[in-house]
Amino acid sequence: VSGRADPLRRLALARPDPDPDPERRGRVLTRALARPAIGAAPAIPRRRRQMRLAVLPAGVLAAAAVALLAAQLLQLAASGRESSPTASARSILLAAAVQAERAPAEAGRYWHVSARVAMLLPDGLDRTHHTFTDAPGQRWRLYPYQEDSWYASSASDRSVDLRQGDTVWPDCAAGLRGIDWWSRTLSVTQLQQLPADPARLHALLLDAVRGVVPGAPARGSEAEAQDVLSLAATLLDAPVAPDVRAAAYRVMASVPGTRSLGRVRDPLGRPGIGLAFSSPTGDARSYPWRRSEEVVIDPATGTLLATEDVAASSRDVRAGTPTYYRAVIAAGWTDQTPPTTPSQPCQLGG
Amino acid sequence: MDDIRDRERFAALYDLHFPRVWAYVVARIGRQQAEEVVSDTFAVAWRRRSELPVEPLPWLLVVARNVLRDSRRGAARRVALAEELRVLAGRQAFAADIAGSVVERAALYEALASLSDGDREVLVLVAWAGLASGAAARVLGCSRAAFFMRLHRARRRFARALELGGADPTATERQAPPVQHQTTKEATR
Repeated sequence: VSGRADPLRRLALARPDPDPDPERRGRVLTRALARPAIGAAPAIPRRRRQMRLAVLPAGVLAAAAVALLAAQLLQLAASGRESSPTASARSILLAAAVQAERAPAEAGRYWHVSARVAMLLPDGLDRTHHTFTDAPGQRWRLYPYQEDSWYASSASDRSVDLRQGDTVWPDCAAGLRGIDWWSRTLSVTQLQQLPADPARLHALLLDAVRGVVPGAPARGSEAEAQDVLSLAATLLDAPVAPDVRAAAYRVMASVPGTRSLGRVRDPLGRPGIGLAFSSPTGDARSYPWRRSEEVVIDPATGTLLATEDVAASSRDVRAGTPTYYRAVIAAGWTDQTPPTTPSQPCQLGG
Repeated sequence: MDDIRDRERFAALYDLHFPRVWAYVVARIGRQQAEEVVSDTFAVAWRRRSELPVEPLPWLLVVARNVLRDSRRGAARRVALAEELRVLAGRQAFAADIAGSVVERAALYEALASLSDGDREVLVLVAWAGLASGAAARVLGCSRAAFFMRLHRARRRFARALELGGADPTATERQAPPVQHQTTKEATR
């Protein structure tokens, strides 16, 4: 019909409008107007407080390693005793795997994660939210209106200190289900079926990062390795069995590209062990600065404390400037029904 | 302090500009993530309401652009955009549905999805956000001359992609998914 018309004009006539959703306006405005806890935001402790342990001779270390508890092993690995940050990163990840494996298997009605998420550049968005996911994959987030009072609860407190009337953000309204898994999402049930065998998990991760677009040109092993690292890291605070989390650490240990940052503090000031790897660069025009991705692990338990993005180099941004972080305050199963749930159940299945 | 008039003015700003900001974001990242990015955009706008210019749309688009750029969710999602735009072509809600059949939309979106993120951005700033060249150049942070050059190239590539898609109309039909209703969940993501 309009084959001869100016393509730009044809495109203008085909502008998509959002699906009608009477609740959207309230959702977007409430979330926008929710008071951000700027005052309560902890100053981001910069950077790298390296506290190296006393140096042990390599032979002593090797002999003693067998006898050490995993926690101590992790501490040692982080001390950078190894010949290079790369080798050290591997031992940290392997030690973390041992730690993660020891965690008791838990279950519950909802997988609950509370996290403080900040996009630091250029607009400084900074929020604490709670995510609830049930087994079929219905997922929603709660944004406490009074963030500061909530935030005062201790980092280890797993209680759900939320109230009726908090902004509820049903992810499923946007078609999201379960946990982000590269370009799609997996339900909790699907996540729990992931293999605990590192080689099989690795193969699955590779499939996921390769299979995004059928027929897309091969992206090279380095880019794929970066994607695999990034994807494996998403399992560190996902509702997977302890042995699957351990496998994720082992996959990360086997993929080249990680380096140890030694002992660091996470964005909330908690001490941990840092690891860095280059982030998938994506579209150069959308990401003017190269980034590296960092994870901070709790040495006592091997759990993930935070993931961070750090600008690697750019004309506009100084190298080392953090651009994003997600600090996990609590992650675990709960049977407690949150005070606010989506007004309509999500459409699931398919 | 945020008084009621501030809030009312802000809600009016939202009502006026939501569809265009949304369409721009959809073209960049897809429908699944659009609402959240747009919501973050308005959250920034609320915090900076004292700095809002008289004509806020280009400013809002710059913020949306920054939110997109800085959010890591974009990296992986963007790759699946082609698929998303295909699904979108089959959906119901459109700003101007006079001329557009599903097949026409499918062809347009297919062509749009085949372009680079940069080309797509230039085209939708004009076609979907309705910006004039000066404003669009400001959003992109380039000179007007550079903008015209980019628009010219993007438009040429878009026309070519349309021609290629149009050469085999059955191909377009085959790739366009059946019309989906709002409650229909996407099986493939």
